[in-house]
Amino acid sequence: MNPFKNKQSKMIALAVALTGLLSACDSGPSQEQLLATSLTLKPQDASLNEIYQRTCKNCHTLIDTGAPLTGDQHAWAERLEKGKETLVNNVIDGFGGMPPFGLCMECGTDEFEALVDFMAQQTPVQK
Amino acid sequence: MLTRRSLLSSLMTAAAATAATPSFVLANDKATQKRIPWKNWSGSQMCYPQSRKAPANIEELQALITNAPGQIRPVGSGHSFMPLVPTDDTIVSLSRLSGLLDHDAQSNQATLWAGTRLGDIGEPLANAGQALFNMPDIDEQTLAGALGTATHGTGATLGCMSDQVTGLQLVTATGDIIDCDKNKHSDIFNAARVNLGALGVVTQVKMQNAPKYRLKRETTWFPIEEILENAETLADNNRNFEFYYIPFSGMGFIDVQNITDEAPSVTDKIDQNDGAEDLKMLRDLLSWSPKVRELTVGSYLKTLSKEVTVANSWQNYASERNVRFNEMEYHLPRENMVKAFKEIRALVEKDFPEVFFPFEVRYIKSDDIWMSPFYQRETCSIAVHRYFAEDYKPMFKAVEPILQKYNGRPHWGKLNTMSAAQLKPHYKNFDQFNEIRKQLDPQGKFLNPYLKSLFV
Repeated sequence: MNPFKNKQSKMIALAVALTGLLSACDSGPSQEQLLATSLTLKPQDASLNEIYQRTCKNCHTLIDTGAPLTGDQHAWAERLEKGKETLVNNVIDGFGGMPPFGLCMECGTDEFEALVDFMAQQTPVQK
Repeated sequence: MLTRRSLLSSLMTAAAATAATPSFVLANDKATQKRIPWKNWSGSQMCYPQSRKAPANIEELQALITNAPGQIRPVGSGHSFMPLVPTDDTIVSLSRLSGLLDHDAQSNQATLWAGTRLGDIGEPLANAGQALFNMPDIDEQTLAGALGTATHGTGATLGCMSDQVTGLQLVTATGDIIDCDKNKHSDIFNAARVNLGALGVVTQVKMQNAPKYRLKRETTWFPIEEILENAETLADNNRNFEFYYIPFSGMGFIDVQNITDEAPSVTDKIDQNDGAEDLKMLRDLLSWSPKVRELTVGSYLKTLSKEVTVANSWQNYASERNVRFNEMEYHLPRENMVKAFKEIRALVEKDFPEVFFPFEVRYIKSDDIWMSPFYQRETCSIAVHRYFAEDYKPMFKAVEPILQKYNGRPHWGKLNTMSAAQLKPHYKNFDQFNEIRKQLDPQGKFLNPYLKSLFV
């Protein structure tokens, strides 16, 4: 029997296939994949990259530090719901295991914001 | 079969069913910040510096020190609980002066930039075939910050980190560079190994290291009376030994580490950050009845099995600390530990039901460093903690006299109220240190209000 013999059954099959695809998307990349991605990313701006390499990268490219991985857009989206200003304030004050200023004692709010944008990968991933 | 967490949940549910409303209200005094302040990790210290700098090289640092108006305070990663950093003038970070500079395979010595985080030392040293003899249980600190405050790990035969320093470089208040060791500028070397950031900015450090090694860490839960009874033997028979006590539980755990050739491995581990949150929750539910609390918490802790981790030394000392706290730690003559511990436990469990963070006890070998709290004394340290968002002062104020009564010397980086007059009898070279300080910094450029209270 042809399961797609009419339009209605074709629509049902398509819906099932889409649901399957969406379910696959829901599971998302594994921690290992996210970790591997985090290690490939670096800010394009040279001075921001210099700061990132000596500060944020220490924790945001390691699993189990409590810090969201660089480029883990899902993890960052949850945090960004609090508002970017809150995230920048968390950097300034320190948060959880993160030291005050995220160890960049000379940084200003613009740099912290740019680093959050980069780690959250709000713009397309630049490798 | 019940898992650990489901058992804990069951116990909590049962206890909560009998609980009245918690008998105290949690402090909620975290101030909101409108400007960019500098704060330490726990939030207990804060300032509004005019200038925050991170020089890229020694020349930039020299120019900064020479030209900056007002006070200058070096800052590491903000893990000191004492007001060593706060200034409204200039704070200077060495985060751009970080990494391994040089190493010698024959002597197992290595020179590091002083701005290197302890957690970033292990891997490059291992690549050079070396490892630090010992490390603390937090590795976020910079090397300069750790040495400046006599930061230590545990081990009755192992000194604090400064004890392994064989040479260092300082940039002084005049912008001069001084390289010192036990033969060259030996007085400055003796003063600078533990220096509170009061002599200048330490830029480079030469460390005596060990050939790289692997450690087997074993964590086991016991009734606290049993731990106290065996503590001295455990300290003598293990390379690294420490223990923790969970207040209002009657239970603690011991951590022992020894060098091994076993392959790296790890058993099921309890997450210490989750553990702290669980203890806080139990405190919230059960502080109305210490007996119910001890029964509940103690019953849970007795179900925990031994944890074993085999790893490279530098990966096995520190744990992630994502739950912030404030801490007081005093270094006591080793023979006074049990008496002091019992008094503190009795006091806290009588008067401070809000406490849930563990007490921590560690061992440190004596040394010959002028401002080291371990100066010519085999030492046992007792540390008490309070959750960062709650007021630490009442409990610390009550505990501190006990630690002082047993001849304790405070950790330079942890909360204490000792004045210069109280500290001097503990440090026979206190005045000599201050003379060196005055020679290097006659204008007091590196003195903030706290350091002025000690040295002026």
